[in-house]
Amino acid sequence: MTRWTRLRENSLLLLPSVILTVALGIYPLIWVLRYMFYDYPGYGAETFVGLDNFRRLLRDAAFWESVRNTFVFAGGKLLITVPLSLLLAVILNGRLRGRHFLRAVFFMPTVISTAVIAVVFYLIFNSYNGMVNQLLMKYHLIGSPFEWLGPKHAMLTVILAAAWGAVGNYMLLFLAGLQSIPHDLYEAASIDGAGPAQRFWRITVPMLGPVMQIIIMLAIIASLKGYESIMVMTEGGPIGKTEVMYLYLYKLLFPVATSGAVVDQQFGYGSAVGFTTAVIVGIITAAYYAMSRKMNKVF
Amino acid sequence: MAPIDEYVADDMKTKFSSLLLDGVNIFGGKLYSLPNSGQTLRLVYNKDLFDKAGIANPPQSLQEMVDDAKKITAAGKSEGAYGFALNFKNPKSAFDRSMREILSLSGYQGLGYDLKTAQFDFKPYSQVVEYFKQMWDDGSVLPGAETLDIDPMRAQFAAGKIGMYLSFATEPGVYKDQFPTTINWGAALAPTLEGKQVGTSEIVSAGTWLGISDKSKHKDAAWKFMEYMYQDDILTAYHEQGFGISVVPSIAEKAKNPDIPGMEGFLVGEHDSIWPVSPSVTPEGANYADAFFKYMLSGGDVSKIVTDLNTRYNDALAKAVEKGDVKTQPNPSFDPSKLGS
Repeated sequence: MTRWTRLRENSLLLLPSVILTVALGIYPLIWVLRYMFYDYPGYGAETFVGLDNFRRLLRDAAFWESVRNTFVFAGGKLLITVPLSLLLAVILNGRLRGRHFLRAVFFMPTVISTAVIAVVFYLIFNSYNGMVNQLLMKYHLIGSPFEWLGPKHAMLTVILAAAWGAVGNYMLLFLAGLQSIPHDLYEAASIDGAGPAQRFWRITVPMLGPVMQIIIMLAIIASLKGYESIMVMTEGGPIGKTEVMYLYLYKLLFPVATSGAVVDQQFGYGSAVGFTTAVIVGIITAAYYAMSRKMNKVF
Repeated sequence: MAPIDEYVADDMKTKFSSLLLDGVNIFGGKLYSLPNSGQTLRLVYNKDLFDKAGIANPPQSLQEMVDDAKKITAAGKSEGAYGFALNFKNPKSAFDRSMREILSLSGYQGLGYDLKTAQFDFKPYSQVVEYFKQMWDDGSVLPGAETLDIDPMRAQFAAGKIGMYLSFATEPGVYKDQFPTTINWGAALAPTLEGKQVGTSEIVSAGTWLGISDKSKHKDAAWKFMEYMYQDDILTAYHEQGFGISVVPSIAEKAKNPDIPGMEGFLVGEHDSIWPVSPSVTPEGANYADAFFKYMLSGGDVSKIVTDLNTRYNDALAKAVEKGDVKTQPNPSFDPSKLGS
């Protein structure tokens, strides 16, 4: 087969993916980069407004509040998910009976739709007839319904729901990483008298370095971008307490219309917000990657 | 769409005369559609819970509503029943189905617009919000109402956990098919600021039904169909079989009640009417519903909130007028008590 034939064949095979990527990935990106300088209500006239959208962004208190909420949400989710999934991976890597079954059980949330998880958590945690409150009140642990999704505690509840959904996924990634650590290292350490804790901190953690760097990076990006479960559980409420960046953006682009009143889709301003949000996520990811470079240097 | 002025006969026009309004079915001086049905808005209440709390009649003033909600909560709390609720997960949806009838019946436009000055003024709106806030502070609102979507709220009402809420004429259909209920419930005109009915309860989504496409090559045939559909017996059957509440006076007067329990409370009466159209604008920052709901939950200086809303909404209105998206005309002689005549 000539080089030319092979090139043509390869191009044809790649063509579907390229078309989809350009149509669904690159074209919308260019669209956003253009519309962030316009005022466009989704239909009709589009007006060029230059940097006005960005000036509005700077004075938009709700947006910066959503950035703050995103950091709180992401931070909380990471603090629970990463250590917990590592711990589970280590436990289920050993010779525990039923470990295959348990791995499947913990991984199950990953295959369930995020929206479905959020609906179930809503049914569990809502104040007026949620399971948790019913149980707590039945055993007289609380006198009146606890506001799990109220202004004070909603963020905690959505973090718990998100962490529950994510642990299994990262546990599996850690498991894969753990299984690449050579067993003789552990054997040699035990012979030298190292206990379980020492084996964990001196062998497991350092050897997992590169894997952990990637996993944490994926976790950071996913937790910064996550909004679907929040959207279903609280819709960013109450009064914006759980409104994260991407949910704020979603509402700008796809506002909910209520009976009788026409609602503008703010595509221009939304594009500016979308661009800024992507830049924020990009900066954090790049900063993390730079700071975690030494995790790659294992040997 | 194509104008239908040349098709509509005079006697047909008189049937609909009180409902032909600029911005509703008349645009640029030409008529484009005719009314059929609309949505009225009412206070929906659980008669059993009212009886249990010893209240004889639904509230006529907002103060009565606050007091009633408190009594119902006191009587029903041990069984998880509370006086009031709304689907506050989406504050705009909650307020647009409740504030509207309270305000319009009290003599103010239901979405914060002042028809006399053609500007937004949320002061009357804030006065009603104060009563809602009072109910919230009293603990008369179902716990977790801030997470309630419209259907979960209806499910709770059907389960007898809510004393009152306010909504469109969609509710009887909900309690017939979607959440069949055994409670005794009814609908009443919304309470007003002073207990007196100064204006009329707004009928929404009314004024249009069928129309002819501008691009149609068979406009005459299309009109024949429209004329057929707008006949009295068709409109009457539409109403009686529960497809929509007729807003046409001659039909509404003579038609039998629709076959949906509870719908009789929502029928168009002497206190209902269509209101003049008001412009809809998207302001920078929080909309009125989010701003007022935040006030309900976390307090604040309500006069500052009103001033801020007025500024932002009127700014957006000015921009929309400048762009030509919206036309406004102050009407200093607007009198809410003259509507519906």
